Parts: sequence; C-alpha cells; structure tokens
Amino acid sequence: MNAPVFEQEETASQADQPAPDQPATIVVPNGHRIVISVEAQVGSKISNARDMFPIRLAQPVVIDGVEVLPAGIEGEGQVVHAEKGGFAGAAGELILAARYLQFGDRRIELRSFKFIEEGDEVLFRGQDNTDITIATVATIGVLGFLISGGNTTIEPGTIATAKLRNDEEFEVAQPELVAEPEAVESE
Amino acid sequence: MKKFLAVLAIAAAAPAVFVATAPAAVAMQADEGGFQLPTPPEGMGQVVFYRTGGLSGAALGCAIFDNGDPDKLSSLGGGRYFVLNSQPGERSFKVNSLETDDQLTLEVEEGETQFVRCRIKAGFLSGRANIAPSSEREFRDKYKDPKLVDADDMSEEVRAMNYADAAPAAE
Repeated sequence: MNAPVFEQEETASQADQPAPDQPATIVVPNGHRIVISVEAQVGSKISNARDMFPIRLAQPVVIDGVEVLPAGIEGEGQVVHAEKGGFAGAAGELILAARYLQFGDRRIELRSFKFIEEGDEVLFRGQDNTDITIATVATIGVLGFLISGGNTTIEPGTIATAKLRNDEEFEVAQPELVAEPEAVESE
Repeated sequence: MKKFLAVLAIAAAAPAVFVATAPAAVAMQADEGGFQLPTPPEGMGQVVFYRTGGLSGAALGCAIFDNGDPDKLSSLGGGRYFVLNSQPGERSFKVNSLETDDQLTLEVEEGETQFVRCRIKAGFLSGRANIAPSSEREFRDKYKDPKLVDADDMSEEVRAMNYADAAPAAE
C-alpha cells in the first residue's frame, strides 16, 4: 500500500530568511498534520487499553521545500480503548492514539491519531452484527444471541495521520530544497 | 359546545407556544450542504453523541454518563444527538441497561470532533444500550435527519453547550 501524500499546509511554517550559509530556523506549528504508519499488529481482540505500539513517520515532513523530519523515524502510539466483539453481534472496538516520534534525542509529541478511510472500510470498529442477531432471534429464537460481532485488526504498515502536539522548532543548516511529493486527496 | 371549541383552540395553539419558547439550538440545519456541526471552543475538543431512529429499542432511552459519575450527561432517544465540549485528554463514558453496562474511552483532542453512536442491541429481558466509536462519514450517511435532544433531557452543563440561550452551569 502506497503511503498517501498530503499537501503541506500553507500556514504550517514560519521559516526565517537566513543569510546565505547561515542555519535557518523553521517552526512547524502545533496541529501540523503528518503521515505515520502503525508498525505492529493491534486489534480489538488482541490488544488492551494502555498497550504501547510502534509507529513510524511514513512521509517526510517538508516545510517550504526543506525536509525537517525524515521518513522512517520511529515512535510510539498507545491503545486508548479496546473491546473485543462479542455477544449478540456486538462489534469489536479499537481507539488508538499517537504519542510521539523520536528524532535523535528529541521527542516530538503527537496527537489526533486518525485512520485514513478508504471506501466503506472502518478500522476502529469490527463488523456489527446487531441487526442480524435481532432478525435471527425473531425467527429462530434465543440461539440468535450466539452470533458474535466481528473484531478489527490493524496490520503492520497501516497508514494513519497524526498532528504535532506542540510548536516544534528546527535548526536547518544550509537547507537543501526538497521536492514535495505529489499530493493525493485525503479523507 | 363552547367549552369544546375552547379546548380545541387551546390544543391547537399549544405546539405554537412550545416552539416559540423552545431554546435555540447551537447546531442547526444548514440551508444547503446538510447538517452543520459547531466548532469546538478554543483549546477544547468535542464529542457528538447520536442515535439513529428505527424500531429496535425505540422505547428505551440511551442515557450517557461520565464513567463514575451518577449524574447523566444526557439521554438519547431515537434519532437524537447532543454535543459535548471537553478538555483534551482521556475521558470515559458509560451507558447502563437492565442487563449490562457498556463503556467507551476516548482521547478527546484539541480542535477535533469525535463521534459516538448509541445503539440498542438485543438482550434476553430487555434491550442493551451500546456506545461505539463512529465517524463523521457514518454520522452523515446514516443520520439523515438529526434532532437535538430536548433541553430538559440534558444536564445543565450539556444544555449550556447545546442551546445558545440556556443559562450556563452555576459555579
């Protein structure tokens, strides 16, 4: 699965204009959206609330043509809520949070984890069989309660978005301009 | 006969009086482009709780509580919604029913809107209220005619968030 590319937000940077050969200071503001990948299997049935899981920056953070965070740096996310699917068609539930990326000795705190929706796919919840259960109970009786709901499992490599929790300042020595990848539509 | 006509006139006027005195909702139907959601207040996030209509469990309410708090935030009847503004951070919610409880923990995020759907699931003796994470897409796809929960079915705090002219909660 190719990582979708998001347009860099125009208001996202406040780059100083340095003299030639001087380091530039680039501020990436709180709320700047980044693209990450989940790097371990997590799921409504196999995970528990508070479990940590590895994440990776899937796409470099490029501000005004300058790369400030390279793709591939790692960090952690956390399971906020996990409930397995069960009795009477109840769907499994999974809510994740992005916590941080580690950039050298610096921790970039994250927030606002969001799966990228594709079509009708819903990753935070399993198959809901409530309606089937109700119909089955109505026709054949209490055995219908044995129908369980589906679970959701997030496979390694699943792409999501997150946002920076704080303003992050980067000193970039002799910035090299990097071409921004072609943007595709996000959710 | 005069008495009958007087009763008829009062009965006919009653809905008009009710509408005239109903508080104004913060979130309203937009003229075009569908339902317009309010924006979370500065530095806060918001959660939209909703329940679609339908016959299943129609007679049962879906009372939403902060987990551990005996006072309900609001109660969702069929086809109703309400908006909860919240400080960022983890927050757990609970619904009760005769047979079981259901809990959901969310990470409320600054400037973000999250969606929680309540459904009444089948139970042995009675329906079971269930709250599950949802999305704006699902909210818009499955909830064509959103109606705000009546003001008198919300806590004072939640009422102040949803009705523009409701008195804020007393300190």
